[in-house]
Amino acid sequence: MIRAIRRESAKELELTDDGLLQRMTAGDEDAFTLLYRRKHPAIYRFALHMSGNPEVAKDVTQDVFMTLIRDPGRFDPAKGNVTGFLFGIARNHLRKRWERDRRLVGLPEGEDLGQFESPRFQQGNGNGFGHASHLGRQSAELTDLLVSSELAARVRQAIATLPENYREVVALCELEEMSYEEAAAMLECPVGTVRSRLHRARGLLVEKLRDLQATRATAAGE
Amino acid sequence: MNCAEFDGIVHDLDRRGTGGLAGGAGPAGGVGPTRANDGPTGDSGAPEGAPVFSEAVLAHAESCSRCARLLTEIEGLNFALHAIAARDAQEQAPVEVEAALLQTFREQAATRNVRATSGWQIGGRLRSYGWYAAVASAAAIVLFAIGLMRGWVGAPPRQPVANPTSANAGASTGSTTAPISPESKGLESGSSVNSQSAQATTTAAEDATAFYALPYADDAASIEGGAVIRVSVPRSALVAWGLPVPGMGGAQPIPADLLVSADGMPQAIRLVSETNE
Repeated sequence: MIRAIRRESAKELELTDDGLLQRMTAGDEDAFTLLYRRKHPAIYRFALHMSGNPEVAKDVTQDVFMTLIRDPGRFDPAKGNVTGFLFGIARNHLRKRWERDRRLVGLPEGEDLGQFESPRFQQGNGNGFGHASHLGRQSAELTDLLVSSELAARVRQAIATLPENYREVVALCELEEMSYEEAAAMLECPVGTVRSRLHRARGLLVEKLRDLQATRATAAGE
Repeated sequence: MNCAEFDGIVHDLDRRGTGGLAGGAGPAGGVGPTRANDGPTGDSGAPEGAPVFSEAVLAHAESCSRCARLLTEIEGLNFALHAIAARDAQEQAPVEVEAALLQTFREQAATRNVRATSGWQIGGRLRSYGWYAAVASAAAIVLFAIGLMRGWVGAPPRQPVANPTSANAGASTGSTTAPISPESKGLESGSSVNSQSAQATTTAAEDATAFYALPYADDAASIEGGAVIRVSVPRSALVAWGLPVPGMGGAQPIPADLLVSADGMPQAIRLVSETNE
């Protein structure tokens, strides 16, 4: 029984995205289900990180695969892989949605960002930089804090205020943890462009978070 | 390292599939940060995925308060991003999305099947119609050619013959093909064609001519089996066959009984007219 399951799993693993897409195009529902389950989490997360809105992410994910169902012939293996194709559709749907909605998730001006408070940020006032082991211990604590607090939401909002090009590279390279090459393939641009955009995006994020922290300090009368 | 170099590298991370900054050197040999990925804590003791900065970066940060602050901020950003990535790693679209997509997929597949089937059916019909048209055209051409050879086309129309029910007259004037009755074709004996039934098809409310042998008809004596079929014949076809056409100039086809042999070949025809009695 276990062997049979393993064989089945191995068989599924052997199925490439292209193969699944071909089978899906021929009407194989199982192939579509497998392809969807394999690809949709990344698409959903990308849309979520780009929009900051789970409802939008859900709609975009559905639209992406609806497009795939209705017009699978649009995929050209010579131009890239299935993942890149799906990300391209997702980007188009996101842009259409933004054009329609004309609104972005903004980072409220002057809002109290007390949650964005960590030992490291408070400590960042000079030469108080510690050693790696100290960093690791504090980082673990910080990570726990981030997960359990609204800090992640604040950073998410800061990401949402980035220009689209920068937001894309943050979503792909930082949040999906893709390599520069992978991100470049998804965005259909040179690797150097991805790297420079990411550098600039991270700089912008630091500035935004710094401003927010300063705003909070001012509000607190410090 | 100076502050400009520090600014240039501090955001860059070594990533999968890249050579990393400064020729792909890691924390030991390069200047840029990388991610710890050697287990839960890595060799550096940092959590997995956490950035690990090179000694050069750390050394500069130790000597420059501005860069130390920047490094601290970037470190916080890195951890924040990593935390978000870790938290969102299990995020997926709701189950109802898959259900809706599967429904759409099934509908789409069904639509494609219907289209394919419809296309096949239409193609089949067209093929059938094509066959009918080809057979009819071939028959018309053969008949016309035979008629030309025998001088039927353009010949004066045959005189109508009395209804075989009333007379078995074989008289025909000026015609190469005498009007016949089934009896005169010898079908009355040994033939499975029931002339009575053929005649019975002409009810009391109908009036029918005698059967005219068609040009290519077999010898009446050799006809084995067959049937009488009620058909509608275009007047132009009757003219081409040299048969009498009642009410010339009308557009309606004329009802007729076609005597068909067992092999499916029409052998004789008679015209039928309905009466009001």
